Amino acid sequence: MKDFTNENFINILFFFGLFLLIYALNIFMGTAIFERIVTNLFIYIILVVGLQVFMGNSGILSFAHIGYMSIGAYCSGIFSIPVKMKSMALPDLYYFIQITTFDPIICIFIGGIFAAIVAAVLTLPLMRLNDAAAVITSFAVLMVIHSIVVGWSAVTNGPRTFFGVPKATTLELAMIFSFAAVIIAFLYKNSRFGLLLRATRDNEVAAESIGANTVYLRWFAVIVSAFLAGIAGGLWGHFITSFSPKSFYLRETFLVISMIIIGGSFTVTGAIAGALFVTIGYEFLRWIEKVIKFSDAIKFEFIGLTEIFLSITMIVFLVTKPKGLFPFLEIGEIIKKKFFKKG
Amino acid sequence: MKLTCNNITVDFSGLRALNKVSLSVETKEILGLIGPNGSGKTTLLNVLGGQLKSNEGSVKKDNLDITTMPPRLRVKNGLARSFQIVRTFESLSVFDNVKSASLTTSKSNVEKNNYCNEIISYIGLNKIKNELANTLNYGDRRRLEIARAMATSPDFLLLDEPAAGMNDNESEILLNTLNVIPKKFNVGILIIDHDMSLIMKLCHRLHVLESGETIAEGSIDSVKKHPDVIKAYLGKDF
Repeated sequence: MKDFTNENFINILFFFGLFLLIYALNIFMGTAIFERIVTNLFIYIILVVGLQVFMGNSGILSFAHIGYMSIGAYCSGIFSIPVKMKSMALPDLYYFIQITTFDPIICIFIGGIFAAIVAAVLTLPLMRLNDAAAVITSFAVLMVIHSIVVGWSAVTNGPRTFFGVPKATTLELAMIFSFAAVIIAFLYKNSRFGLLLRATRDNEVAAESIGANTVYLRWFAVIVSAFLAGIAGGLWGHFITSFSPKSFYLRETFLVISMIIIGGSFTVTGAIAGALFVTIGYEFLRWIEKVIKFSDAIKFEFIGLTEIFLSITMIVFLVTKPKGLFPFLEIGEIIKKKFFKKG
Repeated sequence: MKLTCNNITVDFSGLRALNKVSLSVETKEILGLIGPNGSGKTTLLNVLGGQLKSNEGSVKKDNLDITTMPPRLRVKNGLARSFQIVRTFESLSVFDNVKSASLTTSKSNVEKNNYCNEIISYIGLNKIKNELANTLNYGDRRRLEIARAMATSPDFLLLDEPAAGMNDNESEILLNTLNVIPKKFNVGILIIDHDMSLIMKLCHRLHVLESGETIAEGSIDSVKKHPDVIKAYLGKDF
């Protein structure tokens, strides 16, 4: 490990290659359904990698992530809906927002920044907590955000569908953002903040004895993590164009957490691998469900296979491989150990 | 430079763990803190390191009062420590363990890397510096803790039983390593250990605790002959 940049470089290069490969595969397949799946995959990669920035480096499970995603999605949507459309979609919206519209790309960034600000304000006092208390309070944060989104009808259209968001997310855009998120995650992990935070994860007392300020280190990570979640939310909003608060609640939370647990939260590679694994598994099972349905093999209604599969997979992983597919080493380190043993 | 503590008293819910203990260490000096189990050695080290607050008394580095300072700020003022129960960063490599400790120093990034490499090879962990800490054996982990403490560029090093669990050969190597540190890095060492042959060879001065009270302090010869110390701890063989 002569220098950090070198290692980051191999990792980033690997995922650049992988993303291009997925992109090429999409062109080869050429169907709208496949493109939709791949775009979703890239958005989920941003989400999971964002979760890894906090959860992986600090070792604290966070349920609040999808909450930050919803902030990004709504925020980006509100600012990008065309003025004419706004009076219809959100008649009670405050005047100054009513009359302004920005380009969706700018709005996605606004959403990310706003999610980061909310996270910064909400979570600073929570960063002292460890173990169960930290997990439960993060769950409470998710519920608080969800309640606000449901209740603040003037801005979010309440529990009803929020519509009129311009379609702006293409596969290419999602891929570029996704790649940027991967770079951010690797740089963060190997930065001084990342390394010290990982030290507090392994042993808080010892980390403080070498000068780490646990509370602030965790706080910085939450802010970066929420920013990425907000970006993912914005992209998703401009992809799906209409959604409601229940699009950002328990089901999505457990989906993201299952991805990071299966892949391994300590590594960025694991986060991405988890997103890939779960997406592929999901689509495969959905296909099986469809085949069974149309073949009339079973007379009663047959749904929920994907959820059962996901739960069982998560349990199997927690029992047999509790640290996931990539527990400690990034793909770059694995490649280096295998092929450049002497160097 | 001088690290001093004055009249340190610590109570654990009614039990007096330390009673008006005072001691001081200077840079380039090695002070041994010995005494039977439960005599308050680790408690005193925790007070010095900031992990524990004393009920009475003060801790000073030269003229700077650090009594109420949290551990992370004491490091910046030159106090580093190792732990009785090993507390390495298990999922980080040996190099990253050491590197993480150098991050809060004011060196440039290149200097930090060079300094970390220097310490790693000095402590003798060079061959395993890319291994994860959780793959190391016990003796190596203990040495890694010392290397990590050294990476903070301390003025004072507080070592809590660094030789525990080491065989004779390993503690001999440790002795040679520690022996050179004070002069080479301009550091004062306060060391707790039960390995009396290591302590007698290494230390310049000794401080003996029993039931939270100082029963003797001074040069090795004077402490060895002190009747209370012989009775409480050493026995007649030393």
